[in-house]
Amino acid sequence: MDLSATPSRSKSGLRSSPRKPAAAPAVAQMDLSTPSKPTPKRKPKAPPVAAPMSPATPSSVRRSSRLLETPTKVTSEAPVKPTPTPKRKRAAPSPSPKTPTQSEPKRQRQQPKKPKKRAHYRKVVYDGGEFAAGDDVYVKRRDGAESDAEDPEAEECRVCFRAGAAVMVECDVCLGGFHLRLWREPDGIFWAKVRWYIIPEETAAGRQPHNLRRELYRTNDLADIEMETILRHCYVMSPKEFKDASDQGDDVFYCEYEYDIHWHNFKRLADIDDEPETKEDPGDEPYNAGNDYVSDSDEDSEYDEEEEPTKCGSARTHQSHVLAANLRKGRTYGLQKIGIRKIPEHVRCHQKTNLEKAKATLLLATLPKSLPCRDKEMEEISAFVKDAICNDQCLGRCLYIHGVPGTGKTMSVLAVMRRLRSELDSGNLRPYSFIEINGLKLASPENIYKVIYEQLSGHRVLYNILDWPTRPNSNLVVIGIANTMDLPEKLLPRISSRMGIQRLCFGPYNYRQLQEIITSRLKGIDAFEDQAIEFASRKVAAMSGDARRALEICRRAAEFADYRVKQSGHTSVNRGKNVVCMGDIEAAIQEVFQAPHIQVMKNCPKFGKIILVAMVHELYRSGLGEVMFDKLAATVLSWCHVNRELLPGYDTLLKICCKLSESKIILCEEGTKHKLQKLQLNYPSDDVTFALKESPDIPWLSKTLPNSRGILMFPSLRLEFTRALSFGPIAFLSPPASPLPMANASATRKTHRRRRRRVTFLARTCHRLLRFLATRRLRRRGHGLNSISAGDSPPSGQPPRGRDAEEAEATQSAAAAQRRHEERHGDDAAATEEAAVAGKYWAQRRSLFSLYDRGVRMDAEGWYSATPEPIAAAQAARAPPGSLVLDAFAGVGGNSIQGCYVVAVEIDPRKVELAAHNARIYGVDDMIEFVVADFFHLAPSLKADLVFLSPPWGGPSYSQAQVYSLDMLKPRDGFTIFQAAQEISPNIIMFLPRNVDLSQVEQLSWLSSPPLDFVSEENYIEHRFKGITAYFGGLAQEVLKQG
Amino acid sequence: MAAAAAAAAASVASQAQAVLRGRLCDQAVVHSALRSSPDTNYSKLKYLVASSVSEACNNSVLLLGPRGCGKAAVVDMVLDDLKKDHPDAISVIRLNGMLHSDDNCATKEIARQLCLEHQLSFSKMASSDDNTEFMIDMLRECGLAHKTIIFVLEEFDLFAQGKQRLLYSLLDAMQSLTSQAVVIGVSCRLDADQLLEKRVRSRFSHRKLLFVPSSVDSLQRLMEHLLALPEDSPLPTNFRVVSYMDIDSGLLSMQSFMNALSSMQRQPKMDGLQDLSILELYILVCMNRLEDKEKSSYNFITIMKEYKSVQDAYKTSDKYSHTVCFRAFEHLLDRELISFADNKGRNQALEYRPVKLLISSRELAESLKLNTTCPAVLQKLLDRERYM
Repeated sequence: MDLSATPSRSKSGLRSSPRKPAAAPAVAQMDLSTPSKPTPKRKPKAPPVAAPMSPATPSSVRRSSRLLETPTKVTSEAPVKPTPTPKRKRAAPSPSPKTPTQSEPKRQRQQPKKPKKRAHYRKVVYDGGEFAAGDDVYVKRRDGAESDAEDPEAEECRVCFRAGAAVMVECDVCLGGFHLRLWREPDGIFWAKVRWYIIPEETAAGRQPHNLRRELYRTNDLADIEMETILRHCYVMSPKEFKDASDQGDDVFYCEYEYDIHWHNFKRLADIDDEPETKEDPGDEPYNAGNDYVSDSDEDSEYDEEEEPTKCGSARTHQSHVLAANLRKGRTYGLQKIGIRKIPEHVRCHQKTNLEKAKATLLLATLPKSLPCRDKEMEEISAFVKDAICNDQCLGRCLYIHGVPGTGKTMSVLAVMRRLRSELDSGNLRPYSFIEINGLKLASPENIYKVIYEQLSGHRVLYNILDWPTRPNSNLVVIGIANTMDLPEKLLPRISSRMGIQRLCFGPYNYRQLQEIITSRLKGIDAFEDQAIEFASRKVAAMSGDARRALEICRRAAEFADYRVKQSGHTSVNRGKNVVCMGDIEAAIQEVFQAPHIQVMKNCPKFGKIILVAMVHELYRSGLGEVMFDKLAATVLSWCHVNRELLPGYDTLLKICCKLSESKIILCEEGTKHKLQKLQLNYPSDDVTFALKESPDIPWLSKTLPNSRGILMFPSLRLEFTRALSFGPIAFLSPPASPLPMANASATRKTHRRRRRRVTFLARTCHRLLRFLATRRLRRRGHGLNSISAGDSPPSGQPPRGRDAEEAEATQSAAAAQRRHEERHGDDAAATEEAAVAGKYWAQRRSLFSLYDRGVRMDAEGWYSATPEPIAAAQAARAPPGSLVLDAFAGVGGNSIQGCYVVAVEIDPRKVELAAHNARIYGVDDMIEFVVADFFHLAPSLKADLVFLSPPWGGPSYSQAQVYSLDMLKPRDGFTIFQAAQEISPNIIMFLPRNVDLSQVEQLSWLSSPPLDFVSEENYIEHRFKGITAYFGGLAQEVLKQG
Repeated sequence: MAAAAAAAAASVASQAQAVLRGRLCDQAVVHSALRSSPDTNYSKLKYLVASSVSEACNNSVLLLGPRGCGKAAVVDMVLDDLKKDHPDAISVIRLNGMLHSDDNCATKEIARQLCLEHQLSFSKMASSDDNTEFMIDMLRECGLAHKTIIFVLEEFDLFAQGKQRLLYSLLDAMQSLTSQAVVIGVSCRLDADQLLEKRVRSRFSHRKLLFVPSSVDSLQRLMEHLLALPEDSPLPTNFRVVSYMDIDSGLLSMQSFMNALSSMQRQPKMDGLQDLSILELYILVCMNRLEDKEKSSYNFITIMKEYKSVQDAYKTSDKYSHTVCFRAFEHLLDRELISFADNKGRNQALEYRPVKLLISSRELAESLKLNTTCPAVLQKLLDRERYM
């Protein structure tokens, strides 16, 4: 801003003003000549005072005024009425000539003494000058000492040290001004309703150091004056215009604030488009004054019947006592009071640093200069609206826009409407009106009719609104904006059928678009490192694609940087460091995306930590998410006893539990239940393990925690597990009754429930794994898949099998039996299907399995979903030797067979059987552990060196898509799969179709923090492009090294 | 002489006590250490709010952390400081989720406080629509007047229930350039921001300040800061505290800390067990035996049976009639040492409703040990069945 006038200049500015106007009087003189020309057309009261020319009169002041279309108030109050004096005038184009502001006419009070006809004009040509409502003009003040004395403005003239002298006509700093409204009394005199401008000295606060020399305040002081007193035009500009306007001479003034003369306080002027706009009465007929009256009135003048005063000074103060501000009626009265006594200095005289500028432009509220990346959608919207407006029989229409939050839906629509508005102003469009309603801001659906003046009830609201466009002769266009994609389907059929089929989807922004949005806002401000912006946009794109969030992250990062700079003292030496770097972005992202619970757990009181660890312990022991307080306390006390800690009382423990549950680290029932209270961890047990692994104050605590692999409780047992891996395959049947974690969780409580379930499940899985290990040896004969186990010596030191372990096995054997039973029935159908598919892929059988002829068995899906052997072998070779590989979607075992130590997860038991069979043919059955389970259920409890993902591509039709997007993967989209996998290990191999969108795959690597390395590889078999392998994390580097 | 000296010492000591009491209750003194360091939440929050006041921008921040970590205190200090720095330019609206979690009453409360701050007249009759509109208008007007409205929402998580219309309209109003507001949410739920609806979350600027319980070191520093009196004061310059201060010596001994601690860490159940009658103890022991026998559900009748069998086996003198036992049973229920197993069967007779023991056997054993009047046989009963 170029408002940064130095405070000291103000005085000198004042002083210099007399000198400077040396030119000004000339202007004044010249102006004077124009109005003083005898105007033949009208001479109301003007002539008598023609003699005292303003240049000579010391007190004559220049004033500017602006047309105001508030209905006139009682004319008798007009102060200037009695003694109008010679005048000069000039008119400038008003910023918004066609939208007069009309503030809430009160209709109930009729003006009693209203003359029959009082014509109101928008524009008056008077004395050769043309004045329109909304113009700023100079006004000649009455002269004569006596009137000056009572006139505050005139008195203030002394401030500019020119009071008595006869030299000055135009004193730059003392200007009054008006807004005006033009009308003519029946007697033919032209009057104007004006609003004064006022110079800083006239305010209660006086001239403030930051005031500019040519600064004015707009007041709420209204007056009626005769047209004759008007001198000429001047130009009062808003800061923006002022900046743009280069030099328009002396008549240019700067106005940023409004001054309330009653309360003596300031307020920023709202932007032009924020001003309340008048709706023109449709019944208003243009008054063709030009025909009836003198030619002064222009042809486009219009009149309306006199309306009573809204704001008259005395009435207002009076009423504000009566009306409450928060009532609809009282609003206009009360809010006048809001304002600040003095304009705070920091607002004006503050040189902004780059970082602060960046922060300001990154504000969500800031309207960007351009709206990048939504051109297509905006085009569509504007085409839609224009079509609807221009079309002669406006076929009422609906457009439904949907998209996740922060993708620019509302912004685009508003931008389109703004653009249309300007087109309308330039006359290219038919007039229309635009109503914006936010459903969430309505207290109830019925309130929408307050907005549209209609009274109906119930669910019919949406029905009615959407029904209107279909009526003949209706001119309504409805644009609906929502987040959900399938809202029309969720509505009643009658509504959705009226909603029409035109829909527009706003997809999430990708990282390039986000980057563009941010850089376009930051244009010209050197505050961000380029990589920092890219990093932020990539992160957000991978998470949500929400532009608001990206902007907020950048702003937060700028705050961090600013904070850093300000804290490090004001040593401006290291100027280079005053930009936002990667570290700041990282910190901001951490703050947004990372849950704070780990830090809180780390800082828990001692017994809080012990309780948390005891809960993990109980969870692993019992396999149930919930634990009774009784048991928990017993564990804690026994630990404390063993480790010579101070023994806490039960009640103390209970209190700590309740405190933990207040921060929702654990969930628990109310404390009155005491011993019977049920407790549950609210976060994954891994987080507790991670947080409390090292607690300096309780060294023994880490021994009781599960170890780093997270699978097993006790170190000795973990050994057994690894040994068990090499013994041979075991089948784990996922418990048939295990609850699906996603099952119908209600929308509001979803976070809760899902979390709770997850904990439960995790525990069960682990535990079952344990129990299974413990009991496996005793049930050699086995059933189903167990029969394939290879003979070896049993691991020693197994815990004795418990009662419940037996139960578990019993249920599993029952489940397996049932499954085999089902299989027998399903076999026939499967066989025929397989034969059909096999015919197609038969030629490739040896490229799928080189040992096919030795009896490899496949099912129908296996034929097209198995990874060809050469590719699988190549992929497996990338793995570091001896690493434990997790094959997340094993299928019939194409990949698993190639690895060395593999845990193969597959949800379909039939496929597992086939895979185990195939593995035996290849002679690697003792290297593979098959687990029948849903990968997503199991993932939280798994650890491995490497994860291999070859998720189903969704059938052979994948190749028909132009670009294969990761959403098309089964059973869930690629992002979810990857997210689950990267929790297990940062080394990930993904096998994807050849037409996959590689940029999307690359985005996956940003899902984890820090971002993983990424390398992709194209796989060919006999010169045919089969697929793409993506390597993430450490593997990518391996691959690069290997070449 | 000695008496006079002692009296003087006592008066000085009580003076010191008064000073310390004053200090402990004064938030400003307690947290004054925060002001110096740049890494505290205090200076971060102050920077955040102050910069949005001076740069005229909107902001929202969430303060998270367990109770008693100084969230509200820091907010108060920051607001006090800002009011000093920018008088007349700040108005604070305080809402509490416990009181105003309902959208309508929250908007009404906001309107009331806004009216109060700006000396406007307030009407109770205004509809919530009016109030919302008033709030948005006020945001705009205040923004135009360079006044910042600071909303402090305590128990923020309770606002994040239902449709979250209040949060939505608040945060949405802050998306405009003219408004100038800061929303400070205070919550002890660590996952408070996860509770927000996605459209609200998108508008919420994810600033979070985490308050963690202070470490032993910092607590010690704080205590020294609070309790040590300055050298130059006429008061004894030793280390001392308050309620249990030994007025004679004027010092805070270890003993007074211990007393204070034990008075704070009462064990209500244990205390409740201490003054039970013998009969009530019998009933508790019988219930404990029943639970050890893995009787999942039992009621007064079952307990009486057990009691009879115990009496028969040990031939004690403490044999009471059925009605007396029932009175004791009711007394136990009142003291919440036992409770009903479920809420079903309210109209059933008390004797037949299944009950549960609310204290653990360990607590029971301990209290029996402490209880001097308790007959030996009772302890034996409890121990016996433990070894059985």
